[in-house]
Amino acid sequence: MAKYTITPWRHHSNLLIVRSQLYSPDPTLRQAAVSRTMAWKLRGNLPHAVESTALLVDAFLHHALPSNSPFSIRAVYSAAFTRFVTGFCDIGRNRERALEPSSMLEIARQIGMPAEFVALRHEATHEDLPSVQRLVAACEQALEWLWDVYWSKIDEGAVVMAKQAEAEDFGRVTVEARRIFRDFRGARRAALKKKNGPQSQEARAVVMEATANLESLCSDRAEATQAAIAVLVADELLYPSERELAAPLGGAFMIWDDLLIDMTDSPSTLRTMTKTIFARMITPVSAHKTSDIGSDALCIWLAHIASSETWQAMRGAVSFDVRTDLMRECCVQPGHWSYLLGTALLKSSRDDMFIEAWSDLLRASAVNIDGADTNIETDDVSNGISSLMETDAEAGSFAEASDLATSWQRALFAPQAAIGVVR
Amino acid sequence: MAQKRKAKDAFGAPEGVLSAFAAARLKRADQEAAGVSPALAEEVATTPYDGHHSSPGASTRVSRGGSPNDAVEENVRLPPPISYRTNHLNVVDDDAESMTLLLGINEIACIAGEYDVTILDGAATIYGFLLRPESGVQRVYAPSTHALPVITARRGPTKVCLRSVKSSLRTLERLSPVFRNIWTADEKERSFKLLQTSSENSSQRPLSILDTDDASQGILTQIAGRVNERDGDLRVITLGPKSSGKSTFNRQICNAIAARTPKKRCLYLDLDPGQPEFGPPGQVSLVEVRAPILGHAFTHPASKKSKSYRLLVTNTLASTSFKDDPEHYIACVRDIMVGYRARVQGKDAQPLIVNASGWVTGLGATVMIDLLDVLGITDTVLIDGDYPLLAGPAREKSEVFYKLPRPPARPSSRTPAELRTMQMMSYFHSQASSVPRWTAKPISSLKPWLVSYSATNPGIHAIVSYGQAVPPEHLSEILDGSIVAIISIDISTDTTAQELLPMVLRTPNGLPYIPAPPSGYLVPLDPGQTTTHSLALVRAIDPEMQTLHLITPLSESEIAGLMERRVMLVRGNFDSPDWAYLEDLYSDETKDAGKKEVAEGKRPWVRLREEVGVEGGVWRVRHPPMAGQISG
Repeated sequence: MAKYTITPWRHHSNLLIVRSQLYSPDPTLRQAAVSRTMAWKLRGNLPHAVESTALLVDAFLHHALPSNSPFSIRAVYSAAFTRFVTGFCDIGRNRERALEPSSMLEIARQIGMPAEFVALRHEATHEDLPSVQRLVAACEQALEWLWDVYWSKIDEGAVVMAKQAEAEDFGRVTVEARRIFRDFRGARRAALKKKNGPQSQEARAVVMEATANLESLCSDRAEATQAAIAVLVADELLYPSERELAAPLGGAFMIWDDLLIDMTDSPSTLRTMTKTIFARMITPVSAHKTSDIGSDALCIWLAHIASSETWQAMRGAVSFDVRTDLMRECCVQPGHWSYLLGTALLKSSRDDMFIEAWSDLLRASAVNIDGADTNIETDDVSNGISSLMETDAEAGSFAEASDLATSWQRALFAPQAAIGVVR
Repeated sequence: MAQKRKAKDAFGAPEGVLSAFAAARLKRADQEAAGVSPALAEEVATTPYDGHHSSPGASTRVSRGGSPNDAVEENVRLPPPISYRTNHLNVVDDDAESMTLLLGINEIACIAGEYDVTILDGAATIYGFLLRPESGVQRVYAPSTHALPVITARRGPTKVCLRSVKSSLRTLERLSPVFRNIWTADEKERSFKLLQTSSENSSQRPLSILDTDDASQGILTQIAGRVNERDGDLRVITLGPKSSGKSTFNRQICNAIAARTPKKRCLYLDLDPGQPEFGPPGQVSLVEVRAPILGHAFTHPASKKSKSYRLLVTNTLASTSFKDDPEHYIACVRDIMVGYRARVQGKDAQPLIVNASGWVTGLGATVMIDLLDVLGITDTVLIDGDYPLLAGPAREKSEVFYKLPRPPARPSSRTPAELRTMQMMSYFHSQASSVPRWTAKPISSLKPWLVSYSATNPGIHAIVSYGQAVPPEHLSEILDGSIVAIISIDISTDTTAQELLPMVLRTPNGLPYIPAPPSGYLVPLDPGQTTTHSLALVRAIDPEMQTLHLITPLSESEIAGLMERRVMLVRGNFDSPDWAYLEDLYSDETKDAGKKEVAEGKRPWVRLREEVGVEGGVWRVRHPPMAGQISG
């Protein structure tokens, strides 16, 4: 069974940032880190070393303010230092679980904490507050000790370096993938022009070569595959740059289908591809959002992947329901293009269950689309999608009924993301 | 020296003897003492110092890893089997679903697990409740986390029918290790198991027997008698240190009232925010009890819709202890008592059972003495213990007091923090209905409420922080994935309430909040002006859509009721909901996808814990000496 531990920071990188800030010479950065650490304290599960460091740093920041009285300066140093030492010794003692718990001094010895720390703690608690000079020296020493015991061990240097190397690697993947895809497009076009059809030996060979190149480039790393797919979308490779809105994409399908199908050998790759395409589709780049050529083409592409016969074998082979997944995205992220795609998916479906399950949801989700132009000519969306759904009357009444509760809405779907992740 | 003595008390396990394993540890510690241990220093450094933590991640204590270390510890931790024997019981009927026993007078049956019990003939007691043929079917939950209730025949011959049940509570075991290994099944796959002796339990967990002894029985009889004498006008409190059996005894009082008074019901005032009987930790509440209580707290969350344990009113402290703001605590109780008096006025009185916290020294005692006046206690049960500061005034202030010997300490397989986790999970997974039901879906896959916090269409008025002030720029980081209470101010009727609403500011990413005054802490909202509805988990914050994703057990109709009110979310000092981040990971352990995600650092707040070596194993702590010594 895997064992998990909960941290107050979202990601490890947050902790690394806070470390660099706590030990930075810039007081603004140190102040920010202290404040953030105190916020983590409120979340719970804050390691004592992190808390102690923040308290000690805060004492130094407090000292630097000219208006503070000598007593308050000594008191803050003493409190930060005492809590630091007591905490370490208490935790160590708890861990020991002996009937006769060891003395603080003994625990300090075991964890390699200097004996003077314990002595100074004793003095600050039971005798006069130590002088500022001594407190400053001790707190500086404490910060160094904490660095050695805790902070110097958190970087997992190797991991960080590997991640950086990977990031560079992805830069390479992007460049390489771009070359592979462009070469492929040229070669495939040339092969197809010879009129032997997409299944001719030559046309197939082009696909095989590109697939092999991509495989060796990505070598089963999800992030690399993702980078490659991003190139396809970002470089607008999947459709002709000069095209009319809603023009059919038969030629593009013929060029790309085989390669894409070969590439998406796993459900996760297929999902990455549809997700990437979807994300680009719903963020049109041209000023006229509803006549963005790219969004239009990608919408047709997604409908093609989710319902065409060419992709049928592929869809059957992976255990991932593309159509349902896309439909869910359409409802969750409503907008002009989502609605078009959703409608296309419904129209092309011969599955009554699917239509029943989704048509109301799609309509409901489209209620709040800007300008209420749900009255879209879906005729254009190719693939024999003919007429539009009966929309506005019903949609209007739905909006009215839910008007009261719009500030509290039940999510339409069970989320698939982890706690803390929106989608 | 005081510090030392305290630590010693805590380390001395209830048994008070040095187990072989602890001795081995000591020896080892001695051997290692010669050298400094950097690994130890590192492990200490990563442990939070907040009174809740004894080892990295509380749940690790019960996770059953494959490591041989764990197995050893598990065995050693078992107390000696209880020498508790019954005669060989007379089983008259035994099929795949049920079992019927024929008991002679005073004969005892001890059953572990979960079952429906019916008396076909005769009479028997369980948990202080008198079972008769006319009391119908009663559901009993007897997990191995607590002492097992026994069925004692009060007449002979008594015919007892036990029926296997298909419970949804049990399905929570998929979601967290704290719910694992606490139920049982017998060789026929029935949900219960008849124990001849407690050492028979197959999972070898420490089991003990909950039996109503003569002293308790005497007090219960007297209290039930006084309820009848005074036509229900009785207010009973049980006082005693932590883990001295207060909750158990309160359950028995409720059961005695249910069995022996004509109205068969009582009101239960839950004043222990750390281990409440009927709800999630962090509130005080008043519950109407109309059925016997035959299980531990996590088996019966109260709700507005429940027939058996109906939630009448609750006020949130937003903290599992009242140590930071005793005045607010008293104000919350006072407000509930106002409602209680209004409720019983002009009608027949209903007996009130008060579940006090186990904090009976220092501040805890001072606060409780104040509360005794607020509550108007008539009868006090004092469990033996060293707390003269509270016991003296309590005796003086009540008409009748009873002394109850402290029952022998029972080993529990769950720490207080783990029990709170179980209660929280039980609460968030319970579904509003008249009979208790729990959903087995991981909490991450429950449909959240999408609550807008935009200025134009606000679903909440503001976020309020009780306790230490929160820097606005960090509010979102603190709030995300945490537990909040949903409270509201009625704006439709009370116009003065409008003026009470404090100023609202917005954080850089748009979250509305009430700023703290220069003093650094916010005075909590007056419980008399607000209504506490429920707790919620902030599942996610979507700054783009300006929505909070909230998960709450409230029903749709209750949410609709919120629309008429000014809703606020209270963030305070609830336990970090670690369980919520892990449910989906635990529920699907066969697939490694989740684990991989964690390893890649893609899961917020969750990291894989490196397998600790022998050294880490040795230093792992089982009983948190700090946890809850100060709070209930």
